[in-house]
Amino acid sequence: MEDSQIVDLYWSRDEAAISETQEKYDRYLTKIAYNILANSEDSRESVNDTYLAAWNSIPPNRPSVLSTYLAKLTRRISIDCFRSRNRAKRSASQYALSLDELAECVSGGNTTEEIVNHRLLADTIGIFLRLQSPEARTAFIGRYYYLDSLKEVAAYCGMSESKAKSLLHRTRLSLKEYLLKEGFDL
Amino acid sequence: MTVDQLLDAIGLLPPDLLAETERARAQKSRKVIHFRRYIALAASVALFLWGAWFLSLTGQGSSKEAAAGTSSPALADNAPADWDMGVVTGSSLRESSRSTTPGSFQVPILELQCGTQSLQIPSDNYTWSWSLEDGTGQGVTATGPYPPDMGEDLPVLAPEDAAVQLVWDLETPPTALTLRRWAAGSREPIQEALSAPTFQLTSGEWVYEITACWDHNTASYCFRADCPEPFLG
Repeated sequence: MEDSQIVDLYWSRDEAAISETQEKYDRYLTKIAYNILANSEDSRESVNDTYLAAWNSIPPNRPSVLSTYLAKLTRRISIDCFRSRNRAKRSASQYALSLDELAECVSGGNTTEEIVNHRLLADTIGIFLRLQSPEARTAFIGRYYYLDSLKEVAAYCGMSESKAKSLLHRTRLSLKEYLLKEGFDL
Repeated sequence: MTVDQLLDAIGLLPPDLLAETERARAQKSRKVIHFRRYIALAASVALFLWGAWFLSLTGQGSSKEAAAGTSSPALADNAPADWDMGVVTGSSLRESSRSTTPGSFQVPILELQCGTQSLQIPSDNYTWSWSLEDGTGQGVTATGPYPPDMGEDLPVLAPEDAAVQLVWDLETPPTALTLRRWAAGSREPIQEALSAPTFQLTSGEWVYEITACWDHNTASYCFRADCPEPFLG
C-alpha cells in the first residue's frame, strides 16, 4: 500500500493503518530500534510503541514521508528506553558507541538541557551537513541518526571501514568547529 | 552541552536530509538480497551440473518413466530379466551413450551416405545391454524426445540423391530395420520395414527415424531431410 493511503487510514481512524504500517515498515523500524537498544525484546516493545505513537500523532500530523516520520518516532522512543535502562547494558549498542564518538564534539559539561535550544541546534547541524560532501553527509546521518554500525555505513557508502571511520572523525571535528563558530557553548 | 543533547538534536534533522541516506541504506539492502539470490542460483546450477555429471558417469538415471509419446515403439525392453537396466532421459543421452568404458557401453553411430554427402547420427533412443567380466549383465535404456518434437535438434541431411545408404560403426549388422517418417507438422508416422540397409527419401520435408535391432539391443536415429522432386526420377 502507498504511504499516502496508509496516512489516510490513520486520518480516518481505521485500525488497519497499524497493520499496514507494520507490514510495510516493521523490519525497517526494528533495525533502527535494535541499533539503539541491542536487545530484541526492548526493540520489539519500542517498535510497538512507535505504532501507538503514530496512531496518537496522525492526525493532527500528516507526514509526507511516512518512513522518515516513523523512523524519527522509533529513534526517540528507543533512545528514551535506552536512557531508562540500567547503564550496564549500554556498552552493547551502536547508540552507546556513537555516544562515545560524539563526545569529541561536546564538552559534556554542566550545560542543562533547558539551556540548549534543540530546534536551533538541529537547524545548525542541518546547515552544516548540507555544506558537506554527499558521502560525508550519508555517513554521518547513517551513523548518528540511524545508528548503523560502522561496517554497515562503510558498505552503503561504498568504502572501507577504516575510510568510513576516518571520514566520520573529520566530519565530527568539522562539526565541533562549526558549532563553536555559530556560538554554541560546547 | 551533553552528548545526549547533541544526539537529540540530530534526531530533529529535517526529512529531506534523511532521504539521501535512506536511499543509500535501501540500495544496500537490495544488494544483499540480490547477492543472496545469486548465491542460491549458483548453488542450484552447481547441483544440477553435478547431477548431470554423475548421470553421464554412471550412465544411469533416476527417471521412472518417459514422457508420454516420447519413446519409440521399437524400443522394447528385450534384455534378459536378470540384467540391471538403467534409464537415461533428456538431452545428455547422446554423450552418455559414448562416454563410459570403451567396449562396455558403445551404442553404434549411424552414418547416412547420400551421394557424396555423409552424415553421422548418434542414437537418441536406445536399449543397450552388455556383459560384464563376472558373467552378469548391465543395460541402459535411453529415451529422447518424440522425433517431430525435436525441431532444431535434429541433424539435417542435405540430399544429393534420393537413395540413402545406412552404415553403422559396428561389425555386426542389425538383424531388423524399421523406418518411420513424419511429414512437416504431422505427428502421425508412416512406418515401413526395411529389408536392406538402404532406403529412398520421400519428396518434400520429412522427419525420419531409423530403428535398428541387434538381438537384445535396439537403437533409433532421427534426422530431417528436404528432398527435391528431381532426385526422385
